[in-house]
Order: sequence, then C-alpha cells, then structure tokens
Amino acid sequence: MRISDQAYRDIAAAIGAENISTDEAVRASYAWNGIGANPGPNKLSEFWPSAIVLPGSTEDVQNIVRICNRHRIGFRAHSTGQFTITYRESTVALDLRRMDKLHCIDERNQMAVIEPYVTVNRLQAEAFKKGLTCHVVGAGPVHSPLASATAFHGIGITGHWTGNNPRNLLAFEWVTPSGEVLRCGSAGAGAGWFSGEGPGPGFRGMIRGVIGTAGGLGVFTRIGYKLHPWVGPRSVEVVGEHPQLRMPVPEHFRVHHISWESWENAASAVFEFKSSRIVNTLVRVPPDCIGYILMSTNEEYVERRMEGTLPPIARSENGIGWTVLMVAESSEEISYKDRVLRAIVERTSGRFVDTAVHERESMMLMLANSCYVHRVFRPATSGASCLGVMDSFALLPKAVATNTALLAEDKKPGGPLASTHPECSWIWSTEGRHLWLESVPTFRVADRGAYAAGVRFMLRITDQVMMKRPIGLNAFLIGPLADLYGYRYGNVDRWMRRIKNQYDPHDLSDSALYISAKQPIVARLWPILRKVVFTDKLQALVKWISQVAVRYGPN
Amino acid sequence: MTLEDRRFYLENCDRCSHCKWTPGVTSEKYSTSCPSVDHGKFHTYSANGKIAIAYGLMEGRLGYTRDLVESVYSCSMCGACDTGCKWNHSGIVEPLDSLYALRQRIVEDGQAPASVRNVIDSLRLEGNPYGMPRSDRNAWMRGDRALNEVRVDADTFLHIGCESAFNPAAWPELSSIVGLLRTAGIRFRISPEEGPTGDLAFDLGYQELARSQAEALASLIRTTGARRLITCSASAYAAFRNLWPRLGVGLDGVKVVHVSQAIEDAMAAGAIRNTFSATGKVTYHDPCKLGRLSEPFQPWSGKWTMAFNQVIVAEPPRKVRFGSDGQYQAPRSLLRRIPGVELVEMARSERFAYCCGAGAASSKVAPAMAEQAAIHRLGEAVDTGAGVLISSCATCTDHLRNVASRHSIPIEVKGLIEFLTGAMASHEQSEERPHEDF
Repeated sequence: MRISDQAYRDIAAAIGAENISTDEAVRASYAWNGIGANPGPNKLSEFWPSAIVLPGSTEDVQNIVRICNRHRIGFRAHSTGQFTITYRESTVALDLRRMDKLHCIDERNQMAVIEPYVTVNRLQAEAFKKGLTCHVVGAGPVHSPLASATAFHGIGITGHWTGNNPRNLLAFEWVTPSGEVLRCGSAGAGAGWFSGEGPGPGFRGMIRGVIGTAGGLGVFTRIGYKLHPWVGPRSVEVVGEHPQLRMPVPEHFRVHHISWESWENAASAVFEFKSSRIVNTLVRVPPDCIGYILMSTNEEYVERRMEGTLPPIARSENGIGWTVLMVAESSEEISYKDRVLRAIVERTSGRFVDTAVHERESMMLMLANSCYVHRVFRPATSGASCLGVMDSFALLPKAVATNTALLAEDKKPGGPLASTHPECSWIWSTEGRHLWLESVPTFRVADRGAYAAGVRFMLRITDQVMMKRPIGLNAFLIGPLADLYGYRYGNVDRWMRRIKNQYDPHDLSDSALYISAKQPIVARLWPILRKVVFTDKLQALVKWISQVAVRYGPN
Repeated sequence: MTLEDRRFYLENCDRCSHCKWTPGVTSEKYSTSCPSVDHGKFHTYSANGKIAIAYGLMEGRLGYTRDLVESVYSCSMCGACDTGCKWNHSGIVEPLDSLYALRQRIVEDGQAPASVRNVIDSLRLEGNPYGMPRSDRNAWMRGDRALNEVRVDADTFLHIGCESAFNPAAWPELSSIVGLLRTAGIRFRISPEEGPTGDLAFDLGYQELARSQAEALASLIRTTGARRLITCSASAYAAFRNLWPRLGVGLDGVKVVHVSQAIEDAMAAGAIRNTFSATGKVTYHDPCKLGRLSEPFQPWSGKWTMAFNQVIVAEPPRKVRFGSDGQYQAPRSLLRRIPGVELVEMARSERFAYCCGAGAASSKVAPAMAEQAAIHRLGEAVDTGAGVLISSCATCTDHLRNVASRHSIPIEVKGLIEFLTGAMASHEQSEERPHEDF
C-alpha cells in the first residue's frame, strides 16, 4: 500500500526529495527475504515498505516519525539491515545509512559515541589504534553496534569478556514512536554518554530488555558504547590469500583448541576457566563450521571430509570442546595463564588438539571480529536457530543432548537438514558467567521441505527449552514468541505491551519482531494449544501441516 | 546469459551486506567497497539491491522505472561486490555475473538509457566509445615511421586499446611503452585495424555486440601469426582472460601479457638497464580490470547438487574467481626498482582496491557516481602521504587526473610507464638494443 501524496510531500519537504523514494524497484530492494525469515517461498517478502527514507540527522528522524504519526503510517528503522527486514503492510522504511558518524572515542573512559551506521569494522579500526576494541555480535564486522545494542539481543563470541550488548549500551538518544527526542542516561542530564542508567532518564533496561526493540519502539539515533581494553596490535595485519584471510596471533596471545570426551567434562572446565579468569574468549564452533572456515569452498570441505583428510579441529571426534583465546601483555603473564590452562585441562581430562599456524590464525581473525560466523550459511544459504539457550553451564550437556535428539530424524542421510553434524551448536560463555548455546541446522530456503523441517525444529526446541524438559531460557523471545511464551517469563509480554502502548499509542512503530499492540487470540489460547501441538502422538500431523504451510503459504 | 540462468545464484543471496564492505578492512574512513551504493545511498544501488531487482524482473513482479534503470547503470561493474561476497559465500552467489545478466535483460527489453545507447552507437559506428572518427585510432603513432611499418617478422603483437589510442593525454604513456619495448629489443607489430575487444559492450549489457567485436579482433590477431600479445590496456587484459572465454572466443596458443609484466620481465632479464632516479612517496591504484576482473574465466557446464543433504556443491567442481589471480605485482615490482621512491599502499589495494569510478563508461553513463568515486579514491591516495598516484590503466589515470584537477586535489596522477620513463636517465635508454626474444 502506498503512502498518500500528502505524506510524501511532507516527508520530502522535511528531509529533501532526493532522500525519499516510493519507486517500486527501490521498495523491492528493501524487501529481500535473505535467510527466509519471512516464511513465503519467494525471495521477495510479502510486504514491501511503502516508502524508503534516508534521514541524515536526529532531527530528520524526528520529523519523519512525526509525519508518520500525523498520517498514521507505520515506520521501521534499520542500519546495515542484514538478512531479512520484516515489514508490516504500509510501513515507511528508515534507512539510516546517512547517519554514519563516529563522533568520538573516549580513550581514557573506554567508550565511543556512535550513530546507527557506524559498523564494527570501522569502529574497531579506530579503537585498535587506542588500545581498545568493542563487542562483536555474530553478524560480524559489517553490523551496526548501535542496532545490536538497542534493537536486538546483541549476542556474540566476544561476550565472554566484553559482555553482550545489553551491557555495552551506555547513554542513548531515542526518538520515541510519537516523535519525541529523549536522551536517556547521563546524556539526558547533559553529562555526556558514559552512563546508561543516569543521572538522567534511566530507561535502558525497560526499553531494550534482553532482546532489544527490533524496530518496534521508535528509533535510536546515537549511543554511548562501551569499549574494552585491547592489548593486541594497534593496526591489525590481515594476511593470507583471499578468501582465507587470517590474523597472525599476536605476541603473548594464545589460541588453543581443546577437546573432551563428554560435555560434562567440558562444562566443568568452563567453570574453572571462569573462576581462574585466564580466558579472554571461549567458543565452541561446531566442527563442520570450523571446516567451512578453514576451507574456501563447500567442494573442498566435502572432498576432504569424504577423504578423511579434514584437519583435526574440523573433525567431529574433536567436536566436544572449546577454542580458547588467551591474551596477555607480557611473556610472564601468558606463561602463567598457559600453565593454569594446562592444569585445568588435565584436571578435567581434556586434551589439546593439534592445530597448524594458519588454522590458529584463521580462528584468531574470527575471534577478533566474528568475520567467519557467516560461513555457517555457506553450505545452504540459510538455517534455523534454536533461538538461543541461556542458562548455567551446568545445563550444557542436557541442552546439547536435547538439540541432538530433536534433530536426529531430520539429519539422517536423505533427510531435510544438513547432516554434517548432529547438533551444530555454537556455544560460548557470556560475561564469563552463563551459557549461550545456539544450534543452527542449515538448509536451503528454496527447498520447502527443508524449510518446514527448520521451522519445526525452531518451534519444538523453543517448547523444549522452556516447557517440557527445561534446558534453560529461550533468549530470542522476539515478536510472536514473546506473546506465546511470555507467561513463562513473568508475564513479560504484558509488561512489554504496556510499554509499547504507552509510548506507541497508535502502534506505528513496526512490531513484526517486537511485542504487538494487542495480544493475538492464538497467544491467549497458546497455553492450551501448545499441549496439542507438541503432543508426541500428533507430531506426524504437525509435520504435514508445516510442510503444507510453507509450501503454499503467503507469497 | 539470462536471468533465469542466474536463478540459483540469485536465490542464494542471504543479504549479509558484505557486498558493500571491504574484507579485512583496517581503516575507519576507507572501509566501503561499492561506489554505486556509496553514491546512490538507497540499498537498491548495492549488489543485493540489484539482485532483488533482477529477481523481481525475472518473477514478473517488477516493471521498468527510471529509478530501476538508473540504479543498475550507476555502477562501474568493478566487481568489488563479487570479491566481498565470495569472502564467505564462495561461488554460490557470484553477484557480478548476475549484474551482467541483469544488464543484458534490460537491453533486451529495450530499456537501456540514452547515455548507454549513445556509447554503443559510437562503438558500432566508429569502433570506440568516445564518438571519435575511427581513423583517429592511429593518430598517436603518426610521425613514427617504424610503428607504421608492418613487422611481419615480429612474434609479438602489441595491442594498444581504445582508451589510449583515442586520448592524446595517454599518448606520452604509449610513447613510453614503445620506447621501453624497443630498448628491451622486443620486436613487435601493431595493427592499424585494431578494434574494440567487446569489453565495454559486454559491461553495458550488449552481449552479441561484444561477441562480434571480440571475434573480429581475435581474427585480426590470428592473422598476424603472433605467439605473444602484449596489451597496453587493462580492460583488454580483462577481456582476453575473462570475457572472451565467456563468449567462446579464443586466442589459441597466444600468450597474453600486460605491458607492466612484459617490462618487468625485461628488467629482470637485464634487457632494460635500471637507471631510475627519483625520490618521494608514491602510491599505486590497482585497476579493477587489471586486477580482480582479469582473473581467467573457465566455462563450467556442470550442475549444482547437495552433499550431506544440504551442502551446496558444484559437480564437477568449478574454479571460483576470488580476484586473486590478477596482475598486482608487476607494477609494484617496477616501482620498487626505483631507488629513492617509497611505495606506500592505500588501505584498499590489490583485489580489494576501490574503483576509480570510470569503469563501464561511467563517466558518460553515470557521471555523478564516477566523480564521487574518484574523489573518494583520490582522498585515500592523499591520506597515504604520497605525492604521486600511479595507475597502469589509461582509463583510471585519465579519470583520476581529470577529477583531481577539477577539484584541486593535491596529488599528481601518472601512468605507470610514463612515470618510469620519467625516472630514467634519458640518454642511456635512447638506443634500440639488438633483437632479443623472450
């Protein structure tokens, strides 16, 4: 549905005619269904934005939001906008690419002040010069830290040490859904951007919670963002032949790959790593994904796997374990950390897996900026997600086992999901404290049977995580899931809905991935419905329904 | 190549955004890779944006609009998107080939903009994109009697290229090349009948015109009996190695070398004495056509299958062009031979070089984008501290030089060979050496 001519004229007058487009081709280019997050089979989503606007300032954003309110038009902002941007019908898309200023890096106070289109690669390049770095989410170096800090979960490998992005958000500037500009935290007091909670309006937790606003609660236009000490090189030297770019492991850094015979032992080791504080980054990359990282093409991976010549760290028999990064400023410090590491590994019956220099360097680059996480999609271009399990590492064995069991049938040879690994779980520690686990079984969206299998997995694991055999907390409680399962999370959906309706009374800020303004009927009935949907005896019927739904669904 | 031929690749794009950013970047200021979206701002101008357009046209969900055509043609076809995409997606998306198919579709549908049609008309009628008479191609060598003789005993064909032949500003570079080749004792022949390679026609979406031009030039080269071809043209280098195999046109057994490599080889063999003398910092701009776009194309007619249920593999395996097998080192080797000259690299170099903006006749078809790209690239060069920006592509050199002049950007822009000969002691290199074949 198009916006009215008057709305178009109002926006054009406010931000310049060259910064708004309702052209059909332009609209289509913003409706790409990248990884199939919109369920239809078409690569163009069902709903295209009605108009695309390019604001250049907070004032522009405010003007646009006010105009949308005046004309009762929905809107949704995005920064780099990876994968799929979901729109409701009749939505103005705010592409924030013109708001790309890195205002400052405050070296002494370890923070940056950034706009939405400052990407990690740019921020890190400058921060490294000052002995600092930032948290990097799984979307990698081309993502917007502002977006992940305000509007999504903000989870990433570096989080063991930097904390996830709810923690990295300091003060922020917020254009509310009704068009007010509010500076929250210390910025609200005119005291700079160093504190998210104040003095000044301290709404950080209330506004973004753990999953962020996902475009459903206004637009964030500037933030203070935590930076963290970086004792590595001030300018990263990237070596290697494209696409196998690598980062030499800096002096006094160590990259190890360690394996155990059981997840119980691996979890025990994590508790010791955490209490010893020797580990900077700790991640379990599924062994098949390590293979994708180390090999430049799928063909090379498949060939070597069939020949049995995959490097040890890419083999399933070494897949229970961690890639560990230790960082130090002196040979004495790293020597100490290494001794402690080895003692822990020995105590927990682990073993170091042989790695070649180039393998460690590839992993080093990924540990620094998550650049190779995207290769999880290289096999088939898309994948499902268990939507992230958060809890204690004590639940790790159970979480892995649950994923494995749920995926077993569909991962058999001839099945709809990739069979390269039983559970394909990416695992790391958050803030040196709790567990994060995300299983990403991959499939090609155009294969509708595989897509249906992926969707089924997501629903079943969501239910398993929280309900039947609790294995933790589902972390990506986005959009409809907040409605369906909020009652298990202290009725968080009701509180989110209060906030939504308070600040967005006309429901204009696109809620496709945030709580909806009104609770859908299915959500009210869900506590009863789910007992039917997830009954073991009805799984064959559920499977058939899901296949029909994705094959003949919208689009 | 039709859009339907590209369906598989189009569907594989997951919108990761790496088509807009330089892999492994270490610079806050110089981290983007796509001049098209840097100029156009709307995501439509990015590779994924154009993929969405291609898909929409293919599916019949889009009609032609001015903005559609403009976003597709505000692009120098530099291939940076392709190189960036392949960092994590290998060859399963390959955006550049889809952009070629998209332009071909637009042309077939009669929707190419007037600026493009004007360039094509000039190519058809006069054998060059500049609107200059065909007879002007050889103006640069008037007065050089030796060049005008047909050297039937020459084993090397010296290919000139439109961008140098028709631009007097590039003639000093050509003269320098001829002088150095003679000094090295390389016996070569030039053909006054040389025509376009088809490179530009292909970039603009005119595949059949490209093929006919390529076939005509290939035929000409074969008639010379040359076993080696030295080209002065970066875009021709890409045409011979990458485009012609796509079109089914070959130069069987003829070894193709860019002039920078030929001269570097001659210097390494001692056929040209190193009497260079110059000081100062210089930086080098990698032409897209000499670099990532010149990687040899290998036709593949296999099929895509799934291994392990859902791992996309090509059967038989196909060679993925990651942009590494271009000509990056010979120009640098030549510059490093000059004692006193310090070569400093820009943040984005070699396969990740930022396009100057002039490719695909963009200074005529998309002048604003071309200008902005050049300004950005010149800024990157200035920030290295270099006093001279050198390139080994006449199109790049001309475009960058003109933009630098228009905007008073404080850096001198020179062609590689012109810079080298300027650094040489003139009197010791003026004699032609006895013939020596390489």
